[in-house]
Amino acid sequence: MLRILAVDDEVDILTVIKEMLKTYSPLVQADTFRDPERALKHFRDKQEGYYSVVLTDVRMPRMSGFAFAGEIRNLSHKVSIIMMSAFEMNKNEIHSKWPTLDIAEFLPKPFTVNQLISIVTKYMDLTRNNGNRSSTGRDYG
Amino acid sequence: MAIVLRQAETMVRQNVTRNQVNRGRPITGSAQMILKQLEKTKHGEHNILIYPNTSTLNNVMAVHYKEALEERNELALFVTMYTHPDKVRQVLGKAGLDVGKFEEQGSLVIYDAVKGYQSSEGVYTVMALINMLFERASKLGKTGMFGMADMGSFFVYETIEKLMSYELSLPSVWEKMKLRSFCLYHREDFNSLLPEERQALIDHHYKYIKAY
Repeated sequence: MLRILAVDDEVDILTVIKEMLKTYSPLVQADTFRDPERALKHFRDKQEGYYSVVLTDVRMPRMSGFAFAGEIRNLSHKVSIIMMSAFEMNKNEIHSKWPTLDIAEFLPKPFTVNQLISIVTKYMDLTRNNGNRSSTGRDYG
Repeated sequence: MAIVLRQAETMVRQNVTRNQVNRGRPITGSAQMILKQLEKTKHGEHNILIYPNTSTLNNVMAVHYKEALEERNELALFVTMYTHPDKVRQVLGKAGLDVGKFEEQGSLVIYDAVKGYQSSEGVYTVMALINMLFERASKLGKTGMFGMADMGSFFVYETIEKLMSYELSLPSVWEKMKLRSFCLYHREDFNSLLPEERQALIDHHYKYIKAY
């Protein structure tokens, strides 16, 4: 099973992610948060390896996607971090300003089902042998 | 809910500094009240507006940009951070503004805050843009300029020192510039600053307006 933790201050995006993944496979679980600090606490409460992928918006007030990803990276070197944004992202600039974040992917918003599934499939392949069937995830508001 | 109304736009003309005008107390109110405050602003004012969420900002922004463009005949600049320019266009369109027409004329400019404040050209890119737009406003026969610029990029890019030195380098009152301007702060961003940083920003602007 592939567990994804998704954070975005726009609830519509989280709903789209949840719906797309629910339709795609019962083997994918997406837990969604509008508040990065709650997401961080949730991530911290889980065992290392519980989430394979963290999907985060970049431009969020109070705690940006970069700050959130930094905190996540401090807790886990294994999790794959995917940055999403409706704005153009200068990957080289981001990599040079935050080299230790080790961002796996950049996902432009709005994204299509195929774009999201293509990324998810990549990480499903990596975690395919992990076993459990899934719930469809939770919305933590 | 207490509403503290603050004084006198006429003081702009009398070169009174923002400290004397406001003394750090906010004009606080709902989106409706903030809208009335926006209507009262005059050229010369360099104000600070704290907004609670993007939907409140977008609602207020849409109504006032329509007024600035259609009724006041101003050139309008919106420097956006958390709402994509295309969404800003949608919001303005829903408020009844002919966005395509005004953008084509050059009367409405929607600009990305990251390009404006975090690019390699430096933090004064938006000020350079404003200077350029003043020339355009004059050619277009505009009465002046109205601008709102979100400071959120300094938080996302973790450049608070740069934010403070930039903000404090700007005047509280635009002398000889027919500009009404608002520095926008998402409440969560503003609250993440140190108390002395918040106070310095409040003291440095002409009016301090807080929407809830």
